[in-house]
Amino acid sequence: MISYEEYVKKIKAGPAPAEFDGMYRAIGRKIADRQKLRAREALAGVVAILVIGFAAYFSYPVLSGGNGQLLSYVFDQQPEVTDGPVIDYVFSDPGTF
Amino acid sequence: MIPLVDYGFKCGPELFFRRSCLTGYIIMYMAQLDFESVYAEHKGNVWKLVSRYVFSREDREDLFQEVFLNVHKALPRFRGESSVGTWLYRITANSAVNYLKQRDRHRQVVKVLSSLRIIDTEEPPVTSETALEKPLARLNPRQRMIVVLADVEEKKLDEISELMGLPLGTVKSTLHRAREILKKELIKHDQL
Repeated sequence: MISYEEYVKKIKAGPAPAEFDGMYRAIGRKIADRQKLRAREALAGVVAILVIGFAAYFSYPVLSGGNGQLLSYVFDQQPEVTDGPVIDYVFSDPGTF
Repeated sequence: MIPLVDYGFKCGPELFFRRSCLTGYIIMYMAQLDFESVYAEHKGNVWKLVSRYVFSREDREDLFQEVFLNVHKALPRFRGESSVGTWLYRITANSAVNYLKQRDRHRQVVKVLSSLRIIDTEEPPVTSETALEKPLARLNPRQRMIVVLADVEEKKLDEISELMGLPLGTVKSTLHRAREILKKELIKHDQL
């Protein structure tokens, strides 16, 4: 059995020699890999946003202006069609406007 | 050649000669020089601390590289409030604790998988250096770092408290507990 102090001395004894140049090159490679990964993640994010955006644009009439068909129908009507008792009622109702 | 530190700074070729862009590139270039000089100046100290914390060659090299990857990431945020040495010590201590936590988790997974015979593993050969790690292996990563800093690196307790971002009382009690555990372990490991 060795004492605690001897054990600490053994740990202190001196680190093994290191291959600093090799490790420096490995660090460089890892940093480059991380930067590539980050760039790929950013690109994937942009692509995902575009895909979701396109899907939403074509799926929801509100976003694609699909409700324009409804509005154009309203605006295309002749005044005599839109001016009528129902419209008069709507505009004259104090609770509506 | 280490890639430039990423400052989130982007300039297209058409803007390169604008003053702001040039300044940005100069800062990036200086940061790269800084990383090289930090590495050149402090690699020995980092290796020393790493070698006193983990004992197999593979662990030492992995942890050493992890420390400098973290340094590269943190360099743009270094404001010079403490010396580079202290800042680096802090990064090394925190990286080492995290490294050991990850390694232990990984080993537990490997152990479970090999007990289920999903994978085959070979025990790494025991060398005189890895045998030194056995008593320390009973400590958790934080206890281990505090023991190494206090008793091997001979840092003062208030320095350790600052380096590890822990209250002084916690450092004292953790160190006391860790020494107790180590002394008990040393009785068991008489082949050291």
